[in-house]
Amino acid sequence: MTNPYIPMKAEIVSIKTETRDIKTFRLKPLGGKLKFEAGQFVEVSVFGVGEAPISISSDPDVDDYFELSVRRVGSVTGALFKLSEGAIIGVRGPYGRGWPLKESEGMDVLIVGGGCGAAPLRPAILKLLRSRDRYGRIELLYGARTPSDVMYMEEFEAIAEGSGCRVLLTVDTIAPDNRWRYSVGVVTSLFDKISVNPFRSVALVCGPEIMMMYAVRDLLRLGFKPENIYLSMERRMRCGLGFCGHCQIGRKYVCLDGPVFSYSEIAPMPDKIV
Amino acid sequence: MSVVGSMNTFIADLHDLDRLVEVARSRYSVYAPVRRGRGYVFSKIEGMSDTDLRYNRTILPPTKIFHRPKEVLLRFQLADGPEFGEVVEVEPMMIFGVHACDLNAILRLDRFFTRRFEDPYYLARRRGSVVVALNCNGPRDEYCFCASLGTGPTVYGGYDILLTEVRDRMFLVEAGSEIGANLIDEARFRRASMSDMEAKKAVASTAKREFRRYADFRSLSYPVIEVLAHTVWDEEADKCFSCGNCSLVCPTCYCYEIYDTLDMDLNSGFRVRRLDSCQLYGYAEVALGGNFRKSRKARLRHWMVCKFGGAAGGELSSCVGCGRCIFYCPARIDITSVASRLREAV
Amino acid sequence: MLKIGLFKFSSCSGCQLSFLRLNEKLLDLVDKLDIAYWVMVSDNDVEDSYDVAFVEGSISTPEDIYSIKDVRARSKVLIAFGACASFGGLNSIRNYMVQKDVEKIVYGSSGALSVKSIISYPIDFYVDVDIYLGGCPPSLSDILEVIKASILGFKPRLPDYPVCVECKLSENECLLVNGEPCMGPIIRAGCGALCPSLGRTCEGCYGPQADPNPNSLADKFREIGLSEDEILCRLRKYAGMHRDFRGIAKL
Repeated sequence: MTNPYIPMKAEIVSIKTETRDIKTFRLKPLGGKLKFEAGQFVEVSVFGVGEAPISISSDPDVDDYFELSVRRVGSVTGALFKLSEGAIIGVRGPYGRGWPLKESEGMDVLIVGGGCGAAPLRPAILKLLRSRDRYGRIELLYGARTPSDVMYMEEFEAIAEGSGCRVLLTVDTIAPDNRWRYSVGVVTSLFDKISVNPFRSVALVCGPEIMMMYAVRDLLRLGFKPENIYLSMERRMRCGLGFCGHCQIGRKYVCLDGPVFSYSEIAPMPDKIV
Repeated sequence: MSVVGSMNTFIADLHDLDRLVEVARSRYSVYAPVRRGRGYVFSKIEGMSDTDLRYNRTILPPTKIFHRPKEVLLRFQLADGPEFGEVVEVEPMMIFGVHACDLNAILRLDRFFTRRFEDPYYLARRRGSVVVALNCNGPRDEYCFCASLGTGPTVYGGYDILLTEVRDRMFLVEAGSEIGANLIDEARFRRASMSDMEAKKAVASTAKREFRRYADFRSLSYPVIEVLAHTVWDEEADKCFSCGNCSLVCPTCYCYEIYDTLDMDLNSGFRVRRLDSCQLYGYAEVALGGNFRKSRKARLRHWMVCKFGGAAGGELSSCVGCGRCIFYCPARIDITSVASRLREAV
Repeated sequence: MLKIGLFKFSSCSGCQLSFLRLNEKLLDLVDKLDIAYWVMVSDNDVEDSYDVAFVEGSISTPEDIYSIKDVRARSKVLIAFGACASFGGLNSIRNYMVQKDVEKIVYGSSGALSVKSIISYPIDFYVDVDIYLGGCPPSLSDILEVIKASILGFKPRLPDYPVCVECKLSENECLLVNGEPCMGPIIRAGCGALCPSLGRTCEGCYGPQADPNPNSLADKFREIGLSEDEILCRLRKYAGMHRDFRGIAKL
């Protein structure tokens, strides 16, 4: 019996600064590969500090390395930010159920991201675009607080250039002198501009839970079916194995049953905002 | 039938059981309920004189022996590394004198810790263990309510050896596994008579009738709106201390916290898991101070509804009716009376 | 090298003694720790800056106010070290009496004239506090955790849950359930349930847990026969000044 609590070593091969509090760490697993699906997460160990659940943000079809886009929010992420290239950390996983990409074939796809929520959506976007012909319209809406909080800016602009995915970006506020070329307003204010057909479309949503609440409310109004709205939920997944209990929402375990849930699954459960 | 039965059924007094413990101690550490102050705890015993088989309940349930309240998961060192490796502490163990409620809790944890993943720490200890169960002749006190949940007072499986007190300090002994049979064989018990076996039947049939506390948790679990929206939660939350006693003493509560601790050299250390409680404020906290169960009401409701049919039990109730949470609640919150209030609403 | 200072205000020096009781554990850290100011053990002068200041005692004279602000200005991290610094501690029980009467009791009618004392406040009444270490005195394990975390630049891992957690995990019978006025359910852990493990009720020296319910505890104390005075005394003893207890402790 292999011990699922024992991490695998991974080397930080490069670090990219995305925003003032988000960095993308490219990691090379040592002694094995990490096969994952879009939307899954890993438990990252910085020994002596602890573990934290972090979504994988790289292309699932690349298995030489994987990437984690991390926002500095707590002890483990804080310690991760102090590490440099060449440092070895521990990783176990991947865990959880990712985005329903196979099930969504033949449908339109609306991707809605807020802030750091772009990280778990990125593998889905890359995967969708690789199999572009299997889907109808694809649109990406992404919002952040300010222009300097926008993740993956160059990549989103490149996607907007070609490849058949409309990209709409927005920020909550801009400084008066800022040369921001896109919208200003919360991400749900972009819903007026969408061209996917709500009645035959899935929505993949990830962001702060309060943002997801407003997104769900508006998507339902637009005619999206509750079972076609998918949300990636964040809780304190301590073990990732369905044991420690911290990520329970009602009787669902975010680490096993999620982190991606359809709205119809999660709606009747208590103790959440969405 | 009864003749065949008698081949595997024995009778033993405390002196005979002492021999069983002695035989077992050559191979196992033997844990049994031991008096401590006003309560009992499962601890290592050397003979029957250390234990009291008429105990009502232990403070922590015997599940603590397999799912330890605190244990090291792995050891690490930071310099030239990090390097790390698992630490699994195992000893062959006999758990002696387990009531039906607690045995059912162990069986539920067995299932829980082998769901999608296997928990190697729990299983390493559990798989090498021997369980000597003990039938209850009725409720041990007014807090017991296993009878209404079908988790006691009589044991129907999952044991290696089963004891029933059929007369004053005389126990009918039955084997439930080959290991149990061999131990009994080595302890050289006398075969039970027909009347001993009849006495056990009589005990089992009367035991159930003596329970005064009753619980019915069916259809009270997630996501029943009448349950979640009930005002009983506000009333009980006013009294609740969020002290965690209910869940810490619960035999089917398994939730734990994982953290790292460094030695004084700031180089080597351990990753530890410690029993946690969903009643504690910090339990549902996420990064940046977010907390999805900030109110005592939400926490109390989460715990009880989980017991009504939550995680470990799946569709079954994960409560086994041991009465610990009622007895150890300083605020006198009573899961059985909350359930009957809720029942009026569903 | 972590430069630390230990400073004392109105207190019994017991918290500093606990620091001494770390004994050989302090030796393990001798090359990582520079104890730059500690009147109890050396006569070093006050320096311009400290990485970490451990502050013992409550603020109870006008001079104290000046001094605590000075310590704050010199320190990157300021730790309220013990119950007095964190919540007012035992010193704060005089806040429930008329100041002049207290001075008379303590210093006599003539001495009281020369004493300038003010309401005894926890240090966070005057300065920002980074870390609270409750306890009378704080446990060695909490002190070590703070030192280790400070050296490494992590947030220390200190319990915010109640004493009951440590008490139940130590398999103690519940004193409160047995009718003894234990404060465990509303008091922060860290002591390892020291008193209840010895059969003594928790007196509350670690201050309030993360989400305490003192009203329910007062009801419980009434139920087991405590008078209103006895209940107030218990709530006021160490942390009556804390916002979580202030309402019910009737300051």
